[in-house]
Amino acid sequence: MESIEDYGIKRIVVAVDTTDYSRMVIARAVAIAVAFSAETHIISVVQLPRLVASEADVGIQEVRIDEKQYAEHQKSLIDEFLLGRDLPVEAHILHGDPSGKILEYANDIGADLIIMGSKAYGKVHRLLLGGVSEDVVRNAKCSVMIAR
Amino acid sequence: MAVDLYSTALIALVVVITGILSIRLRISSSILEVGAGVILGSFMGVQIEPWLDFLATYGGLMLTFLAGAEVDLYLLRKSAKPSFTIGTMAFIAPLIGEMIFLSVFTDWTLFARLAASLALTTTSVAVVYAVLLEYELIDLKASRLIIAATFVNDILTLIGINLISPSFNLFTVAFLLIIAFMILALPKILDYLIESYGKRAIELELRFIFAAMLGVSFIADVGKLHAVFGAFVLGLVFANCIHSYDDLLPKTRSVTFSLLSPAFFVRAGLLISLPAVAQNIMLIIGLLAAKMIAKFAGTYYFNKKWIPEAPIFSTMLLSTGLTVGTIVATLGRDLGFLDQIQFSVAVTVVILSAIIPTLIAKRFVPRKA
Repeated sequence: MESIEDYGIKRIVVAVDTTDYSRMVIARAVAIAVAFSAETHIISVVQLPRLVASEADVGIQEVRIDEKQYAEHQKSLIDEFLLGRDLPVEAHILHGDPSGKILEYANDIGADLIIMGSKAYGKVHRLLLGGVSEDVVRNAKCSVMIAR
Repeated sequence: MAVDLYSTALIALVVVITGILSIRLRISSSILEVGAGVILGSFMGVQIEPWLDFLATYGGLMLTFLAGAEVDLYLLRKSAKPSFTIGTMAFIAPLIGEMIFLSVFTDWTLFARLAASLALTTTSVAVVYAVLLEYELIDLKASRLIIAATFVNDILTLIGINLISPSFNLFTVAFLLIIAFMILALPKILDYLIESYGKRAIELELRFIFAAMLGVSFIADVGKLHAVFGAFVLGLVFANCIHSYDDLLPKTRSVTFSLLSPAFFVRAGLLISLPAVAQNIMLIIGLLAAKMIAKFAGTYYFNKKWIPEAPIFSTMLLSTGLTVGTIVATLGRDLGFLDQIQFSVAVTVVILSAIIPTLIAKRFVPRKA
């Protein structure tokens, strides 16, 4: 018989970009991580075309600049919200389709919870193109929390 | 001459829309721009105006320059033997394969066959780089070797375009002397310009790059070497020093990809005839198959030898092509060697070669150790 502990949260994936919005996302994640003593995995995704890329879509130097910005932002989030707390933390920068990469990473580490932000698009936009958060909510094998 | 504002406004609008769609749908912007050009030309009566010719020519030169500037010479030196062997085979095998295929199945002229075959020898650095990034393989030794081989393939294709109407004169010698001078002087000139006049809104360093690129392309052109070859060689020379300046390459790319490159790809689309594509669908499939089979025959053995963890993956990535292939096909068209039907066929195969081998490669992604 399953106990309540089976529903605990051991690993959290937090998907952040470089906006200020990500501070709120990480704050929510840390609050939950502290409550459950969970591992926190902070990930950012450098977006690449899904099908094929041309030189206009991916530049070697630009990718390095993006990676540097994400790394600096992740470090500032860790310093602000996780430094001094006795919590295991990992930070990674991935490349590709953001929703696919978030889902893949969460599956790979056996995450119990994905926390991410969401942009408020209109109905037509969502109908035509969907969004990263909706895609993650629809396809995740674990719980997903959209921080607002 | 009065500018046709209908065409101008429509193309400008379409470039914005394709940009948005490429980001939202996460599909290559260049492919969408070619598609937009096809639609504008086939269904909306848009013609190629002189201003578009100018921007597209400038765009083709800048794209070729950037292809040269992105070459990592340190990486090439570090893996010289395998990358030169694989890159050379990735160039020669499809050149021979496509020439044989076109000789057997078409009555195209020798130079039409040569121009189309050269366009199909290329490997897309951007496609290869993006796939390696996507699967987080970019830091592997094998990945660096694949990228280096891709650089070699591009270099040989750009040298190979001189096989089309080979000729030389005194300006050829002048071109070689200027390049030798640039190799020695360019880092110092750039240092001086940036220290004395750089970091201003007028972007003097960018103006210098454009002037140098157009000047060298002009000398290459009158030296019977083709302007794009000159742009590529100058890009290679720049590759040695441009990375010392953090913002120079991104700025050059911004100007190129916001204005010039869309013009190049939209014009390529306007030159494509949809009926020609529809009527030659078997030829298109045959040319694509010939490219992939020839790349496989030429590189698989060496990929297995030097990249044993991912021979099929590497071979498929080396079968991709897009920007340089389109540039070479456009050169063939502009020189009059490819007619509209032949150009339409060649560019369609180039675009398909960006998609099909990539999708196959993704089925053979190696596991990270």
